[in-house]
Amino acid sequence: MRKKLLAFFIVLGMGMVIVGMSTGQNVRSKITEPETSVERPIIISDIEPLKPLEEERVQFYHGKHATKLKDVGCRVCHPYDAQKNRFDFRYPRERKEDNKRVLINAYHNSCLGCHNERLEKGLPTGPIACGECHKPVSRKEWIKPVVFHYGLHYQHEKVTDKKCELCHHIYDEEGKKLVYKQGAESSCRDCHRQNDEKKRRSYRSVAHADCINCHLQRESEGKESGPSNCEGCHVDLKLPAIKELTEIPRPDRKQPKSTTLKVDGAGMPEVFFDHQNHEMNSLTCRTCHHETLETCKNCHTLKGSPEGNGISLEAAYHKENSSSSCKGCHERQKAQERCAGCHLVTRTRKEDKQFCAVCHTGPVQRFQPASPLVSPEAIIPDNVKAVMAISALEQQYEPAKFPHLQIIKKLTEISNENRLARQFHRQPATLCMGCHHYSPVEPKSSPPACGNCHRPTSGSVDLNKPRLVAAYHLQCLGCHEKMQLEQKCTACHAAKKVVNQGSSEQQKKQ
Amino acid sequence: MDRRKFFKLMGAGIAGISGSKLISPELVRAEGADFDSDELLGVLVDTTRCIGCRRCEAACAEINNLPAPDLEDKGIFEKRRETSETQYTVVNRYTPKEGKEIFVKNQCMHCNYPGCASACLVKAMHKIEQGPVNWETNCIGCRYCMVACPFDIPKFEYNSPAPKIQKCNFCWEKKVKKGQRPACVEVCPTEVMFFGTRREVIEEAKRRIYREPDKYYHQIYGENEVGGTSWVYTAAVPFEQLGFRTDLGTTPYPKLSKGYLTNIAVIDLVVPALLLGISYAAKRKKGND
Repeated sequence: MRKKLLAFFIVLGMGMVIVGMSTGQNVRSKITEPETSVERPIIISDIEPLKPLEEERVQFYHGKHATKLKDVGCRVCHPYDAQKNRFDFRYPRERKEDNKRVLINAYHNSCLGCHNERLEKGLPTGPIACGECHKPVSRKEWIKPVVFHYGLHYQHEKVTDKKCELCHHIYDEEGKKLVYKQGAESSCRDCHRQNDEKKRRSYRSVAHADCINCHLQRESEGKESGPSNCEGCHVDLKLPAIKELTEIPRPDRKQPKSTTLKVDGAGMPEVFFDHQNHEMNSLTCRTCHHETLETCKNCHTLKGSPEGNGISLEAAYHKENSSSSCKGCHERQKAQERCAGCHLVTRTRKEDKQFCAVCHTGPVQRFQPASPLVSPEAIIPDNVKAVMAISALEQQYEPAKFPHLQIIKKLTEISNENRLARQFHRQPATLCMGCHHYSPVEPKSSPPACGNCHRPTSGSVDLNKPRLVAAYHLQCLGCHEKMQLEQKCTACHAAKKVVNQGSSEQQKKQ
Repeated sequence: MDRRKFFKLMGAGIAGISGSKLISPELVRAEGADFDSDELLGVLVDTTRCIGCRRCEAACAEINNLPAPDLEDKGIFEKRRETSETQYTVVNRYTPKEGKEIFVKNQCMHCNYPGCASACLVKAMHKIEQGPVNWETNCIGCRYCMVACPFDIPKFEYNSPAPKIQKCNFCWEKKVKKGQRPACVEVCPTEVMFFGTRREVIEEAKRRIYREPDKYYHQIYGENEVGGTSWVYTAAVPFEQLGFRTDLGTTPYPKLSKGYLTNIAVIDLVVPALLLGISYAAKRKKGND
């Protein structure tokens, strides 16, 4: 009995040691990559008036201050207006940005003053020597910008009973005050810009003031409230997937469900635009509309104007590297994992007139809604086997087995799932072009084989044309890499049974 | 000192200065070759395409009659390898902070202004007119080229009774001279390497970067490094993450030592002559007294 007990305790002890070790490791990994502002400093980026900097930027532990000074409250650092029950989240209290020296002194007086005072009182305090705050920035920025997406907007709508005036306002020139006007809501950034202006504070400063004050007030009233610490908004907020967004009611600003983009004097036929569908595929209105929420053509005129930053209407819709243009966004969709295999690996033929006509349909009646592709059996020629063996280059490995039919089926499935793909993949044999590039492909007809253009020999040195072995590897592996598929050598070709050491002997035989 | 003697001394000085040119690096290079020309041969190594199969190592071993590497041994990538006297080219694996692993093939860069050639005492190492940097049979094994190479490429046969320097020879004798491509270029299954004139090679590198600006890090390694190299590289990440030295500058290595070496010769000849002259003059004065 005793022995059994002893054995039990030994096993228990070992178990505890193992558990202790594993949790110990967890703690260690947590210390190296801490997630909360208590452990990680924010890097003071409010340095514009202080430039050129004489010292290193300060890494400030806001979370640490907020938790340690919780009982004293925010007002120990930030000015508090008792009448309005609002904090002003400026720091330091006395900010005079026109004078660098005064501002530096204000920072030092506020920080060091408090640290010194606490030191004299014998309370726990912060650093006092220069180098303890002005350290070289060693950490990556961990504060993420807040994306106020439709989901968050709807959440705020719901909680505040659709009191839009709590946040949205415009400046009334005559009354010289802020008023709310229905239907004229705009993005905050429309007026509140990057930096403080004379009578307009920066977006950063109003967002902190309004959001946190409201959250704090609601919290004190015992209502449902949002976060008031750094990481609550800047780290923990996760972006919703498109699927989640489609279930959220669309923000109502009297915008049309669909519209026709038609501009007087434009040469191309008009474009039918499904506004509602595009709303669901972006996170905020600003994704396309910048800050203003105006229609595109108000600023982007046909020839470009100063209001539109000199960008013409054509560029505003078609600029490929822009994040707000139609084409730019569509191009980025093509870079997704499931699309990139075809779209980013092989070069296809140049876009033709038909391609433009997918959007530029002319009158609405001519617009063809997205339609799924037909099943692969209907388009591949009858003599094509479901699994083909690529044996043209057979040397060291068995011929590669190429599941031709299965690949087309999968591509068809991917294409039919995606609305954008359904809209643009018009020709029945579109998907064949992913691999059979350059050569026109008609349903039920065989395109040229790979080896017809890509010769197996290495004699020719053609810049644009890899020889056959490279063409296969670049295209197959390129697609597998983009679509995160198997990339091992043996996944395609099994090693021959008589294994040769290296390729040298193999090649000698030939 | 009379007029005749003064001219004698002057003549000796001038001869010394011009004679020193004999060992200045400028003449060490092959004569008649135009080294700023882009029509030298070159190879582009596009590291974004390499899959780490090491066929190039095997092909290199075969054509140079070296021991064949074991291609199945994937554990070889655990440690960074350098070229050796029996491996003129090696493929290394790098795992950058973000993204997937990258394979990089290393071999002699065949510099436009090779430091090894300028350091060679017997002019064994030299740049062939068409681009390759090779060495002749008269290597005496002094290993100065090993010290002079910015890429640490020439390796010494320490185990041989009659040791020589070994390094990638651009397959010059066996392939390139006959109008073929180097063995590694020919065997590569993904065409990592593109062989052509240096102008074509740089143009192709630029074209790839231009066509896929997001895929590539916007630098062609070897375009300007140490005065340009015949083998150039493109990559997806900054080159220091792939084991390349980025502190080499764009000055050709021979130029770095040229002024210094020239001065040594001047000092060797002029200073003794001067001192002798002074001593002679002083003696004469003494004798006059």
